[in-house]
Amino acid sequence: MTFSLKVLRDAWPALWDGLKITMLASAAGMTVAIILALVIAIAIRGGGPTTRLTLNSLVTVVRSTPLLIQLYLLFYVLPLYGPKLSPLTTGVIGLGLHYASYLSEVFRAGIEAIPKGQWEAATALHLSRKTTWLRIVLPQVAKTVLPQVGNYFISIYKSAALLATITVVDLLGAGLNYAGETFRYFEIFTLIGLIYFTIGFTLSRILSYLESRFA
Amino acid sequence: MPTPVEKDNFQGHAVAARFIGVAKRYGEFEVIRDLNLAVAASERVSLIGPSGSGKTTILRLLMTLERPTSGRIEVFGDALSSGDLVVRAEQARAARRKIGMVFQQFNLFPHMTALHNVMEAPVQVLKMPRNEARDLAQGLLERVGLKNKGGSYPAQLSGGQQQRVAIARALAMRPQIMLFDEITSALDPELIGEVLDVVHTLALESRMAMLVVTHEMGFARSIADRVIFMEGGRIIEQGKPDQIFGAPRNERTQSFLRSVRRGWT
Repeated sequence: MTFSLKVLRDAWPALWDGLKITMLASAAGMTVAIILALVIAIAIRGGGPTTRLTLNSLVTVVRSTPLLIQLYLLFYVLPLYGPKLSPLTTGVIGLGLHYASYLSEVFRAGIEAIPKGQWEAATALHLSRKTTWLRIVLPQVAKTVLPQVGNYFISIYKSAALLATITVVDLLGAGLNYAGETFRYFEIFTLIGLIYFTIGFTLSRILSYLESRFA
Repeated sequence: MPTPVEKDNFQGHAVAARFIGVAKRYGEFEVIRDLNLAVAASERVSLIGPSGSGKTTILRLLMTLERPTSGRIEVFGDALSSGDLVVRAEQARAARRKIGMVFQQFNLFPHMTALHNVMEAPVQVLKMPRNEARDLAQGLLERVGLKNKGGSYPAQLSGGQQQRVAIARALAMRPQIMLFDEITSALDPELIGEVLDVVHTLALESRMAMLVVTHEMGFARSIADRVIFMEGGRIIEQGKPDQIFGAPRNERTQSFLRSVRRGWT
Protein backbone atom coordinates (compact mmCIF):
# COMPACT_ATOMS: atom_id res chain seq x y z
CA MET A 1 0.00 0.00 0.00
CA THR A 2 1.50 3.33 -1.03
CA PHE A 3 1.13 6.62 0.82
CA SER A 4 -1.76 8.50 -0.78
CA LEU A 5 -2.18 12.24 -0.43
CA LYS A 6 -5.75 11.94 -1.64
CA VAL A 7 -6.64 10.11 1.57
CA LEU A 8 -5.43 13.06 3.55
CA ARG A 9 -7.60 15.45 1.56
CA ASP A 10 -10.64 13.23 2.06
CA ALA A 11 -10.04 12.73 5.75
CA TRP A 12 -9.23 16.36 6.54
CA PRO A 13 -12.76 17.71 7.22
CA ALA A 14 -13.43 14.99 9.79
CA LEU A 15 -10.01 15.42 11.37
CA TRP A 16 -10.47 19.18 11.55
CA ASP A 17 -13.74 18.72 13.43
CA GLY A 18 -11.97 16.28 15.73
CA LEU A 19 -9.15 18.70 16.30
CA LYS A 20 -11.62 21.35 17.43
CA ILE A 21 -13.00 18.87 19.97
CA THR A 22 -9.47 18.07 21.17
CA MET A 23 -8.70 21.76 21.71
CA LEU A 24 -12.06 22.34 23.37
CA ALA A 25 -11.54 19.38 25.70
CA SER A 26 -8.00 20.52 26.56
CA ALA A 27 -9.04 24.09 27.32
CA ALA A 28 -12.12 23.05 29.27
CA GLY A 29 -10.19 20.32 31.11
CA MET A 30 -7.49 22.82 32.01
CA THR A 31 -10.06 25.33 33.27
CA VAL A 32 -11.75 22.72 35.43
CA ALA A 33 -8.36 21.51 36.68
CA ILE A 34 -7.17 25.01 37.64
CA ILE A 35 -10.37 25.96 39.43
CA LEU A 36 -10.58 22.65 41.27
CA ALA A 37 -6.89 22.73 42.16
CA LEU A 38 -7.20 26.24 43.54
CA VAL A 39 -10.18 25.27 45.65
CA ILE A 40 -8.30 22.22 46.95
CA ALA A 41 -5.10 24.13 47.67
CA ILE A 42 -6.90 26.94 49.48
CA ALA A 43 -9.13 24.52 51.42
CA ILE A 44 -6.11 22.44 52.47
CA ARG A 45 -4.41 25.59 53.74
CA GLY A 46 -7.40 27.09 55.49
CA GLY A 47 -9.35 23.98 56.49
CA GLY A 48 -9.34 21.92 59.63
CA PRO A 49 -7.67 18.52 60.06
CA THR A 50 -10.67 16.62 58.62
CA THR A 51 -10.82 18.71 55.46
CA ARG A 52 -7.10 18.39 55.04
CA LEU A 53 -7.09 14.62 55.49
CA THR A 54 -10.03 14.14 53.12
CA LEU A 55 -8.57 16.30 50.37
CA ASN A 56 -5.06 14.91 50.72
CA SER A 57 -6.43 11.38 50.48
CA LEU A 58 -8.46 12.26 47.41
CA VAL A 59 -5.43 13.82 45.75
CA THR A 60 -3.31 10.77 46.57
CA VAL A 61 -5.85 8.34 45.16
CA VAL A 62 -6.32 10.29 41.96
CA ARG A 63 -2.59 10.72 41.46
CA SER A 64 -1.91 7.03 42.03
CA THR A 65 -4.35 5.67 39.46
CA PRO A 66 -4.24 5.88 35.65
CA LEU A 67 -6.33 8.49 33.91
CA LEU A 68 -7.71 5.81 31.62
CA ILE A 69 -9.21 3.91 34.57
CA GLN A 70 -10.70 7.12 35.93
CA LEU A 71 -12.28 7.88 32.56
CA TYR A 72 -13.76 4.38 32.38
CA LEU A 73 -15.16 4.69 35.89
CA LEU A 74 -16.71 8.06 35.10
CA PHE A 75 -18.07 6.91 31.75
CA TYR A 76 -19.27 3.38 32.43
CA VAL A 77 -19.87 3.25 36.17
CA LEU A 78 -20.94 6.72 37.28
CA PRO A 79 -24.10 6.78 35.06
CA LEU A 80 -25.33 3.66 36.87
CA TYR A 81 -25.55 5.65 40.09
CA GLY A 82 -25.59 9.26 39.03
CA PRO A 83 -26.27 11.61 36.16
CA LYS A 84 -25.75 10.51 32.60
CA LEU A 85 -23.45 13.01 30.97
CA SER A 86 -22.25 13.31 27.40
CA PRO A 87 -18.93 11.64 26.57
CA LEU A 88 -17.24 15.02 26.10
CA THR A 89 -18.50 16.39 29.43
CA THR A 90 -17.42 13.19 31.16
CA GLY A 91 -14.02 13.47 29.52
CA VAL A 92 -13.57 17.11 30.55
CA ILE A 93 -14.49 16.25 34.15
CA GLY A 94 -12.06 13.31 34.07
CA LEU A 95 -9.22 15.42 32.73
CA GLY A 96 -10.02 18.22 35.15
CA LEU A 97 -10.15 15.94 38.16
CA HIS A 98 -6.99 14.07 37.23
CA TYR A 99 -4.88 17.16 36.57
CA ALA A 100 -6.35 19.06 39.51
CA SER A 101 -4.64 16.50 41.74
CA TYR A 102 -1.28 17.47 40.27
CA LEU A 103 -1.96 21.19 40.00
CA SER A 104 -3.20 21.42 43.58
CA GLU A 105 0.27 20.35 44.71
CA VAL A 106 1.84 22.96 42.45
CA PHE A 107 -0.44 25.64 43.85
CA ARG A 108 0.09 24.48 47.41
CA ALA A 109 3.84 24.83 47.00
CA GLY A 110 3.36 28.22 45.33
CA ILE A 111 1.15 29.44 48.18
CA GLU A 112 3.60 28.21 50.79
CA ALA A 113 6.39 30.09 49.05
CA ILE A 114 4.65 33.42 49.73
CA PRO A 115 6.48 34.96 52.69
CA LYS A 116 4.54 35.26 55.94
CA GLY A 117 5.19 39.00 55.84
CA GLN A 118 2.86 39.36 52.86
CA TRP A 119 -0.04 37.95 54.86
CA GLU A 120 0.85 40.13 57.82
CA ALA A 121 1.07 43.25 55.69
CA ALA A 122 -2.38 42.42 54.29
CA THR A 123 -3.72 42.08 57.83
CA ALA A 124 -2.09 45.34 58.88
CA LEU A 125 -3.79 47.08 55.95
CA HIS A 126 -7.13 45.54 56.96
CA LEU A 127 -7.61 43.73 53.67
CA SER A 128 -10.30 41.07 53.89
CA ARG A 129 -9.37 37.40 53.47
CA LYS A 130 -10.86 37.35 50.02
CA THR A 131 -9.02 40.48 48.92
CA THR A 132 -5.80 39.10 50.36
CA TRP A 133 -6.13 35.92 48.32
CA LEU A 134 -7.25 37.60 45.11
CA ARG A 135 -5.06 40.71 45.11
CA ILE A 136 -1.98 39.80 47.11
CA VAL A 137 -1.40 36.04 47.25
CA LEU A 138 -2.72 34.54 44.03
CA PRO A 139 -1.11 37.06 41.65
CA GLN A 140 2.26 36.23 43.19
CA VAL A 141 1.52 32.51 43.11
CA ALA A 142 0.48 32.76 39.45
CA LYS A 143 3.87 34.14 38.53
CA THR A 144 5.83 31.37 40.23
CA VAL A 145 3.65 28.48 39.05
CA LEU A 146 3.23 29.65 35.45
CA PRO A 147 5.93 27.34 33.98
CA GLN A 148 4.56 24.24 35.68
CA VAL A 149 0.97 25.07 34.86
CA GLY A 150 1.99 25.51 31.24
CA ASN A 151 3.67 22.11 31.19
CA TYR A 152 0.56 20.52 32.62
CA PHE A 153 -1.49 22.17 29.90
CA ILE A 154 0.62 20.41 27.30
CA SER A 155 0.14 17.16 29.24
CA ILE A 156 -3.61 17.68 29.26
CA TYR A 157 -3.60 18.38 25.55
CA LYS A 158 -1.81 15.10 24.91
CA SER A 159 -3.86 13.12 27.43
CA ALA A 160 -7.04 14.39 25.80
CA ALA A 161 -6.41 11.72 23.16
CA LEU A 162 -7.61 9.21 25.76
CA LEU A 163 -11.09 10.65 25.41
CA ALA A 164 -11.33 8.71 22.14
CA THR A 165 -11.60 5.59 24.31
CA ILE A 166 -14.86 6.83 25.81
CA THR A 167 -16.36 7.49 22.35
CA VAL A 168 -15.47 11.18 22.09
CA VAL A 169 -14.82 11.99 18.45
CA ASP A 170 -11.76 14.12 18.99
CA LEU A 171 -8.76 14.24 16.66
CA LEU A 172 -7.80 10.69 17.52
CA GLY A 173 -11.41 9.52 17.54
CA ALA A 174 -12.05 11.01 14.10
CA GLY A 175 -8.87 9.42 12.81
CA LEU A 176 -9.80 6.01 14.22
CA ASN A 177 -13.24 6.22 12.61
CA TYR A 178 -11.83 7.15 9.24
CA ALA A 179 -9.03 4.61 9.33
CA GLY A 180 -11.41 1.90 10.53
CA GLU A 181 -13.51 2.33 7.44
CA THR A 182 -10.72 2.73 4.90
CA PHE A 183 -7.78 0.88 6.51
CA ARG A 184 -5.60 3.88 5.66
CA TYR A 185 -3.84 3.79 9.03
CA PHE A 186 -0.48 4.83 7.57
CA GLU A 187 -1.72 8.10 6.12
CA ILE A 188 -4.15 8.93 8.88
CA PHE A 189 -1.81 8.31 11.80
CA THR A 190 1.07 10.08 10.08
CA LEU A 191 -1.14 13.10 9.67
CA ILE A 192 -2.56 12.92 13.19
CA GLY A 193 0.93 12.59 14.61
CA LEU A 194 2.04 15.63 12.64
CA ILE A 195 -0.92 17.67 13.84
CA TYR A 196 -0.33 16.69 17.48
CA PHE A 197 3.33 17.58 17.10
CA THR A 198 2.74 20.92 15.40
CA ILE A 199 0.30 22.12 18.05
CA GLY A 200 2.27 20.66 20.93
CA PHE A 201 5.47 22.25 19.68
CA THR A 202 3.76 25.61 19.17
CA LEU A 203 2.31 25.48 22.68
CA SER A 204 5.69 24.78 24.21
CA ARG A 205 7.23 27.69 22.27
CA ILE A 206 4.49 30.03 23.43
CA LEU A 207 5.09 28.79 26.95
CA SER A 208 8.82 29.49 26.87
CA TYR A 209 8.07 32.94 25.53
CA LEU A 210 5.61 33.63 28.34
CA GLU A 211 8.11 32.37 30.89
CA SER A 212 10.87 34.63 29.62
CA ARG A 213 8.41 37.48 29.56
CA PHE A 214 6.93 37.14 33.06
CA ALA A 215 9.26 35.06 35.19
CA MET B 1 -6.39 48.44 85.73
CA PRO B 2 -3.71 51.01 85.09
CA THR B 3 -0.92 51.12 87.57
CA PRO B 4 -0.24 54.43 89.35
CA VAL B 5 2.74 55.10 87.12
CA GLU B 6 0.52 54.97 84.06
CA LYS B 7 -2.16 57.16 85.58
CA ASP B 8 0.39 59.93 85.84
CA ASN B 9 0.87 59.78 82.13
CA PHE B 10 -2.77 59.95 81.36
CA GLN B 11 -4.24 62.93 83.06
CA GLY B 12 -6.83 64.27 80.65
CA HIS B 13 -5.92 61.99 77.75
CA ALA B 14 -7.98 59.31 76.06
CA VAL B 15 -6.48 55.86 76.21
CA ALA B 16 -5.62 54.67 72.70
CA ALA B 17 -4.54 51.17 73.59
CA ARG B 18 -4.79 49.23 76.79
CA PHE B 19 -3.39 45.85 77.77
CA ILE B 20 -5.12 44.33 80.77
CA GLY B 21 -3.36 41.39 82.39
CA VAL B 22 -2.16 40.13 79.03
CA ALA B 23 -0.03 37.01 78.75
CA LYS B 24 1.27 35.31 75.65
CA ARG B 25 2.68 31.80 75.79
CA TYR B 26 4.10 29.53 73.13
CA GLY B 27 3.87 26.15 74.80
CA GLU B 28 5.96 26.47 77.92
CA PHE B 29 7.62 29.68 76.86
CA GLU B 30 6.02 32.84 78.17
CA VAL B 31 6.83 35.76 75.88
CA ILE B 32 4.61 38.26 77.68
CA ARG B 33 3.77 37.97 81.37
CA ASP B 34 0.86 39.73 83.00
CA LEU B 35 1.22 42.91 80.99
CA ASN B 36 -0.68 46.00 82.07
CA LEU B 37 -0.04 48.92 79.82
CA ALA B 38 -1.97 51.91 78.57
CA VAL B 39 -0.95 54.22 75.76
CA ALA B 40 -2.62 57.61 75.48
CA ALA B 41 -3.92 59.06 72.23
CA SER B 42 -1.07 60.95 70.56
CA GLU B 43 1.47 59.49 72.96
CA ARG B 44 4.82 58.26 71.59
CA VAL B 45 6.21 55.25 73.35
CA SER B 46 9.54 53.57 72.71
CA LEU B 47 9.99 49.95 73.67
CA ILE B 48 13.57 48.90 74.30
CA GLY B 49 15.19 45.81 75.72
CA PRO B 50 17.17 42.73 74.76
CA SER B 51 16.06 40.33 71.99
CA GLY B 52 13.27 38.06 73.12
CA SER B 53 12.10 40.47 75.80
CA GLY B 54 8.62 40.67 74.25
CA LYS B 55 8.72 44.15 72.68
CA THR B 56 7.77 43.03 69.20
CA THR B 57 5.11 40.70 70.59
CA ILE B 58 3.35 43.71 72.11
CA LEU B 59 3.06 45.27 68.66
CA ARG B 60 2.00 41.99 67.06
CA LEU B 61 -0.70 41.52 69.69
CA LEU B 62 -2.05 44.99 68.97
CA MET B 63 -2.07 44.33 65.23
CA THR B 64 -3.89 41.02 65.94
CA LEU B 65 -1.09 39.08 64.27
CA GLU B 66 -1.00 37.18 67.56
CA ARG B 67 -3.76 36.40 70.03
CA PRO B 68 -3.19 36.77 73.73
CA THR B 69 -3.18 33.53 75.72
CA SER B 70 -4.98 35.35 78.50
CA GLY B 71 -5.98 38.88 79.35
CA ARG B 72 -7.61 41.49 77.19
CA ILE B 73 -6.62 44.25 74.81
CA GLU B 74 -8.69 47.35 74.12
CA VAL B 75 -8.38 50.04 71.49
CA PHE B 76 -10.07 53.34 72.36
CA GLY B 77 -12.15 51.46 74.90
CA ASP B 78 -13.35 48.76 72.51
CA ALA B 79 -12.30 45.15 72.83
CA LEU B 80 -9.69 44.14 70.24
CA SER B 81 -8.85 40.66 71.40
CA SER B 82 -8.97 38.54 74.47
CA GLY B 83 -7.52 35.27 75.64
CA ASP B 84 -10.48 34.57 77.89
CA LEU B 85 -13.59 35.99 76.26
CA VAL B 86 -14.89 35.85 72.74
CA VAL B 87 -14.56 39.15 70.90
CA ARG B 88 -16.96 39.43 68.00
CA ALA B 89 -15.21 39.54 64.64
CA GLU B 90 -16.81 42.80 63.47
CA GLN B 91 -16.01 44.46 66.75
CA ALA B 92 -12.38 43.35 66.55
CA ARG B 93 -12.17 44.50 62.93
CA ALA B 94 -13.53 47.92 63.81
CA ALA B 95 -11.03 48.27 66.66
CA ARG B 96 -8.16 47.06 64.48
CA ARG B 97 -8.99 49.60 61.77
CA LYS B 98 -7.50 52.30 63.97
CA ILE B 99 -4.09 50.64 63.93
CA GLY B 100 -1.35 50.71 61.32
CA MET B 101 1.99 48.92 61.27
CA VAL B 102 5.37 49.17 59.59
CA PHE B 103 7.49 46.04 59.56
CA GLN B 104 11.17 45.27 59.84
CA GLN B 105 11.17 43.56 56.43
CA PHE B 106 9.00 46.26 54.74
CA ASN B 107 6.64 43.58 53.34
CA LEU B 108 5.74 45.62 50.29
CA PHE B 109 3.69 43.78 47.67
CA PRO B 110 6.33 42.96 45.05
CA HIS B 111 3.90 42.69 42.14
CA MET B 112 2.64 46.25 42.58
CA THR B 113 4.31 49.60 42.00
CA ALA B 114 5.01 51.87 44.95
CA LEU B 115 1.93 53.91 44.08
CA HIS B 116 -0.30 50.84 43.87
CA ASN B 117 1.07 49.52 47.14
CA VAL B 118 -0.14 52.71 48.79
CA MET B 119 -3.46 52.81 46.90
CA GLU B 120 -4.43 49.20 47.51
CA ALA B 121 -5.98 49.42 50.98
CA PRO B 122 -7.90 52.69 50.42
CA VAL B 123 -9.38 51.26 47.21
CA GLN B 124 -10.11 47.76 48.49
CA VAL B 125 -11.04 48.48 52.09
CA LEU B 126 -12.34 52.05 52.13
CA LYS B 127 -13.81 51.70 48.60
CA MET B 128 -12.20 55.01 47.70
CA PRO B 129 -12.52 55.91 43.99
CA ARG B 130 -9.29 55.08 42.15
CA ASN B 131 -8.41 58.62 41.10
CA GLU B 132 -8.94 59.88 44.62
CA ALA B 133 -6.81 57.05 46.01
CA ARG B 134 -4.15 57.85 43.43
CA ASP B 135 -4.00 61.47 44.59
CA LEU B 136 -3.85 60.38 48.20
CA ALA B 137 -1.05 57.89 47.45
CA GLN B 138 0.92 60.42 45.41
CA GLY B 139 0.62 62.95 48.22
CA LEU B 140 1.83 60.42 50.78
CA LEU B 141 4.76 59.38 48.61
CA GLU B 142 5.73 63.04 48.35
CA ARG B 143 5.50 63.31 52.09
CA VAL B 144 8.03 60.51 52.55
CA GLY B 145 10.30 62.05 49.92
CA LEU B 146 9.49 59.69 47.06
CA LYS B 147 7.65 62.00 44.72
CA ASN B 148 9.11 60.43 41.57
CA LYS B 149 9.14 56.81 42.64
CA GLY B 150 5.44 56.00 42.35
CA GLY B 151 5.96 53.94 39.21
CA SER B 152 8.82 51.87 40.61
CA TYR B 153 8.41 48.30 41.77
CA PRO B 154 9.77 47.43 45.21
CA ALA B 155 12.67 45.47 43.69
CA GLN B 156 13.80 48.66 41.95
CA LEU B 157 13.99 50.61 45.21
CA SER B 158 16.64 50.71 47.92
CA GLY B 159 15.79 49.36 51.37
CA GLY B 160 15.36 52.85 52.73
CA GLN B 161 13.03 53.80 49.90
CA GLN B 162 11.03 50.60 50.32
CA GLN B 163 10.60 51.29 54.02
CA ARG B 164 9.42 54.81 53.26
CA VAL B 165 6.86 53.42 50.81
CA ALA B 166 5.74 51.05 53.58
CA ILE B 167 5.27 54.03 55.90
CA ALA B 168 3.22 55.85 53.26
CA ARG B 169 1.18 52.69 52.72
CA ALA B 170 0.36 52.42 56.42
CA LEU B 171 -0.51 56.14 56.60
CA ALA B 172 -2.98 55.78 53.74
CA MET B 173 -5.42 54.10 56.12
CA ARG B 174 -5.19 57.06 58.54
CA PRO B 175 -4.37 55.03 61.63
CA GLN B 176 -4.72 56.56 65.07
CA ILE B 177 -2.10 54.23 66.48
CA MET B 178 1.00 53.50 64.44
CA LEU B 179 3.28 50.59 65.23
CA PHE B 180 6.92 50.65 64.10
CA ASP B 181 8.54 47.26 64.47
CA GLU B 182 12.33 47.58 64.22
CA ILE B 183 11.89 49.48 61.00
CA THR B 184 15.60 50.12 60.50
CA SER B 185 16.98 46.73 61.51
CA ALA B 186 17.04 45.37 57.96
CA LEU B 187 18.64 48.49 56.49
CA ASP B 188 22.21 49.26 55.55
CA PRO B 189 23.61 51.80 58.02
CA GLU B 190 23.72 54.64 55.49
CA LEU B 191 19.98 54.26 54.77
CA ILE B 192 18.79 54.37 58.38
CA GLY B 193 18.84 58.16 58.63
CA GLU B 194 16.40 58.82 55.79
CA VAL B 195 13.81 56.50 57.36
CA LEU B 196 14.18 57.92 60.86
CA ASP B 197 13.91 61.46 59.48
CA VAL B 198 10.57 60.55 57.94
CA VAL B 199 9.29 59.16 61.24
CA HIS B 200 10.51 62.23 63.13
CA THR B 201 8.72 64.54 60.70
CA LEU B 202 5.62 62.41 61.02
CA ALA B 203 5.77 62.66 64.79
CA LEU B 204 5.90 66.44 64.52
CA GLU B 205 3.13 66.78 61.97
CA SER B 206 0.60 64.20 63.11
CA ARG B 207 -1.28 63.36 66.25
CA MET B 208 -1.11 59.59 65.94
CA ALA B 209 -0.11 57.56 68.92
CA MET B 210 3.13 55.73 68.11
CA LEU B 211 4.63 52.58 69.53
CA VAL B 212 8.21 52.17 68.44
CA VAL B 213 10.29 49.04 68.91
CA THR B 214 13.87 49.82 68.05
CA HIS B 215 17.50 49.02 68.68
CA GLU B 216 18.50 52.57 67.74
CA MET B 217 18.82 54.08 71.21
CA GLY B 218 19.19 57.63 69.92
CA PHE B 219 15.95 57.27 68.02
CA ALA B 220 14.18 55.60 70.95
CA ARG B 221 15.13 58.57 73.08
CA SER B 222 14.37 61.39 70.67
CA ILE B 223 11.03 60.12 69.34
CA ALA B 224 9.41 59.21 72.63
CA ASP B 225 7.34 60.82 75.37
CA ARG B 226 7.87 57.65 77.36
CA VAL B 227 10.43 54.87 77.19
CA ILE B 228 9.64 51.36 78.36
CA PHE B 229 12.43 48.93 79.15
CA MET B 230 11.41 45.27 78.91
CA GLU B 231 13.09 42.03 79.82
CA GLY B 232 11.78 38.48 80.05
CA GLY B 233 8.29 39.47 78.94
CA ARG B 234 7.85 42.11 81.63
CA ILE B 235 8.07 45.85 81.88
CA ILE B 236 11.07 46.42 84.11
CA GLU B 237 11.14 50.19 84.10
CA GLN B 238 9.44 53.05 82.32
CA GLY B 239 9.71 56.78 82.39
CA LYS B 240 10.62 59.94 80.53
CA PRO B 241 13.39 59.41 77.97
CA ASP B 242 15.83 61.60 79.86
CA GLN B 243 15.23 59.67 83.04
CA ILE B 244 15.55 56.20 81.47
CA PHE B 245 18.62 57.05 79.45
CA GLY B 246 20.13 59.57 81.84
CA ALA B 247 19.39 58.09 85.25
CA PRO B 248 17.90 54.59 85.00
CA ARG B 249 16.82 53.37 88.44
CA ASN B 250 16.59 49.67 87.82
CA GLU B 251 19.84 47.79 87.78
CA ARG B 252 18.82 45.68 84.78
CA THR B 253 18.01 48.79 82.77
CA GLN B 254 21.41 50.13 83.72
CA SER B 255 23.21 46.98 82.63
CA PHE B 256 21.24 46.81 79.35
CA LEU B 257 22.08 50.42 78.48
CA ARG B 258 25.72 49.84 79.45
CA SER B 259 25.99 46.82 77.14
CA VAL B 260 24.29 48.68 74.30
CA ARG B 261 26.68 51.60 74.65
CA ARG B 262 29.67 49.31 74.86
CA GLY B 263 28.54 47.72 71.62
CA TRP B 264 28.52 51.09 69.95
CA THR B 265 32.03 52.27 70.75
